[in-house]
Parts: sequence; structure tokens; C-alpha cells
Amino acid sequence: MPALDRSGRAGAATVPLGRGALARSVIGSWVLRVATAAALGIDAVVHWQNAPAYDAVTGTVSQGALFRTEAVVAVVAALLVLIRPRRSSWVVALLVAGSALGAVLLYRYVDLGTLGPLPDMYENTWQVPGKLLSAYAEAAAVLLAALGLLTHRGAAPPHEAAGSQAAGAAARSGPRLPTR
Amino acid sequence: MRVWNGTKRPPPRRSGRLRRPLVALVALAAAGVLAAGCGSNGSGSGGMGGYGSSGTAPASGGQSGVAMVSAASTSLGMILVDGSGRTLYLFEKDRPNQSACAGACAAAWPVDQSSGTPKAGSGVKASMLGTIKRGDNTTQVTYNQHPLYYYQGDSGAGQHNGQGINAFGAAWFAVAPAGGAVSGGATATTAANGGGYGYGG
Repeated sequence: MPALDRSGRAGAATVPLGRGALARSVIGSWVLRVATAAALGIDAVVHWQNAPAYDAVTGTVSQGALFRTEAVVAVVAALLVLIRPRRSSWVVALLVAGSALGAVLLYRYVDLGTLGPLPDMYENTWQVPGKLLSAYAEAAAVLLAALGLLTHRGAAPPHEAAGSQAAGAAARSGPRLPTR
Repeated sequence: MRVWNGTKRPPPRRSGRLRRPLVALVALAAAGVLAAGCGSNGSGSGGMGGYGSSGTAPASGGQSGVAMVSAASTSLGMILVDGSGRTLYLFEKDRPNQSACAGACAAAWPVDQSSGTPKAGSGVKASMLGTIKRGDNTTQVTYNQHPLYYYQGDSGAGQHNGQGINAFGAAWFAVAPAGGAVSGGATATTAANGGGYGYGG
């Protein structure tokens, strides 16, 4: 029998997952991970493709080099979320997407000039191929990674550990949906 | 190690109840952003693609025809436009007769192409018109040695939304018939008096 909380409702986090709920949990986890990875992938592709056009924008490092770095880091974060969906992976995804979104918004609206080793990346237009799409993807990745963090469980409760190994693995790898 | 016997009430998970509305809110926001992102291709940038092509580059001045450059009176003053009245720009990062704009840059700022010597319209000095060969083997129109471009943010004649924009490492300006950049409502900066190329920043 499901454990009840103070209000008499079944506590979602404490109820063993049935088959249907387990299936939804696994599907939900994969949807979240794939969506986050896809958003980071869009970010990576846009930055990689645009990088050559920014090689001439130079400080100590060029904007093109920064774009390539962003692309590689975004791919790594996407792979982490897909292959190793732990709390740390969601944090990495959140930081990568958040820093990229912060940078594009900052340099879209604020002329900072050169900042230390960074070149002058002020660009007061969205009329750059993929720029707006990339910004949306970064925003989506931020929200999805936050969702991943919020729904992530580090370890399965004991009653689930006593169940099938598949159930435990699914619970560790992603969000669990409340039972009804 | 604790063993769960299935009879005792499990410890309450405070975070589970508190998180649910937050999770729903974040999920809703994410869905909204994804939906907005899917519809963001209408920025004229061609979404993720558009590389190596001129995207929605104006037909006038295309490779298949000879470009026409003339002067038009706008709120910026007299500026160079193509045969259909679209504003032409110069890029401050360019060197004389040498374009510094390719790839994503040329997708955002399509080059003014010509299959032959461009024609000078009214208000334009024919002696200042010229062409350069680009890396992709296309021919770009120049004026006073400035390679000329369109702006993707202009959808038609009479618009000059690219004026003063900073992108790809330098500013973009409409071009005055005298051969220099137009700044605001007055001719300014480069070679305003029809002298040398004058990239002085």
C-alpha cells in the first residue's frame, strides 16, 4: 500500500513505481536528456559554423577560437547528459548553456569593448545566421538542464532497490513521475 | 546498511512536494522557449544554415546581371542604393578593394555582385565604381575601393536598418556618394571628401 503524506495523498517520491509509471519515468528521462542534448547540439553547430567569420575579431584570443571552444564544450555537455545523466552532468549542461546565453545577450545589448584577453564582441544585431536560433536553444537548454537537476535523484529508495534492477537503474537515471 | 521492511512510513521527502510546481513551471517555460525557437527562423538569417550562400540576397546586382549603383535621398542624407533602391553598405574592417567578410558574415551582409562593370546611376561618380574578385570567384561591386554589401535586415527599398550596426568585429555604414561612410545624418569618417580610401577608424 502506498505511503501517505500528512494530507492523506500518496507521496510521489515514496511510492514504488508501477510498470506504467516506470515506463513514463524512463521515457520522460530520455525525452529530457535528448531534448537537452539537442538544444546543446544546435548551440554547438551554430558556433562551429560561424567561427570562421569571427577569426578576425581578435584580442588575446579570437572570437572564432571562443566559438569553437563553446561548440566543443557544448558537445561534451550534451554527451554527458545523454550517457551519464548524473547531477554533475546536469550542472555542466546548465553552466555551459547559461554562460553562452548570458554572453550572447550581454554582447547584443552592451558594448563592453575588449575585456582582458577577450576581443570586442559587441554585436548589436540578431541578423547573423543561426544567432537567434542558437540563443533560443541556449535558453531551452538552461531550462531543460534546470528541469533535469530538479527531477534528478541520486539513488533509488530502498523499496525500489529491492525491486528489479531495471527499476532502480531507471530511477537513478532520471526523473520519476508521481503515481496516480 | 538500512533495510526497508515495507511497513514503516518512509521519511518524508520535503523536496518532492515542493519541487512539483517548480518542475511544472520550468517544463512549461522550456516548452515555450522551444516553441519560440522553432519559429525563430524568420529573422532573415535562414536559421542555422545559409552558409556559403547569399541567403535572401536581393536579385538586383546578382551574378547574372550588371549591377547598378545610384544615389538616393534618405533620412541619413544621400546614400548609395542599388537599381531597386536597396541600401548599400561598407564594412569598416575591409581594406581597400579587399573584403574581410565571408561565410556567416556574407550571409548576414550579402555582397553586391555584378557580372560586369557596374553602371553608375544618378548622383554617383562612375570613376569611383569598380569591382573585385572574391575568394569564392564571385565579383563584388566597390565604390571608392569600398566593397559594397546589402543587409539581411533590410527587406526592401528605402530601409537602412544596417546603419551603424556593429557586427563581425567592426561597424557597417551606408555609403555617401562622395565615397565615405555615412554616420547618422551626416557624412563622416572614411574618405568623406572623395580623397583616398582613408580607413582611419
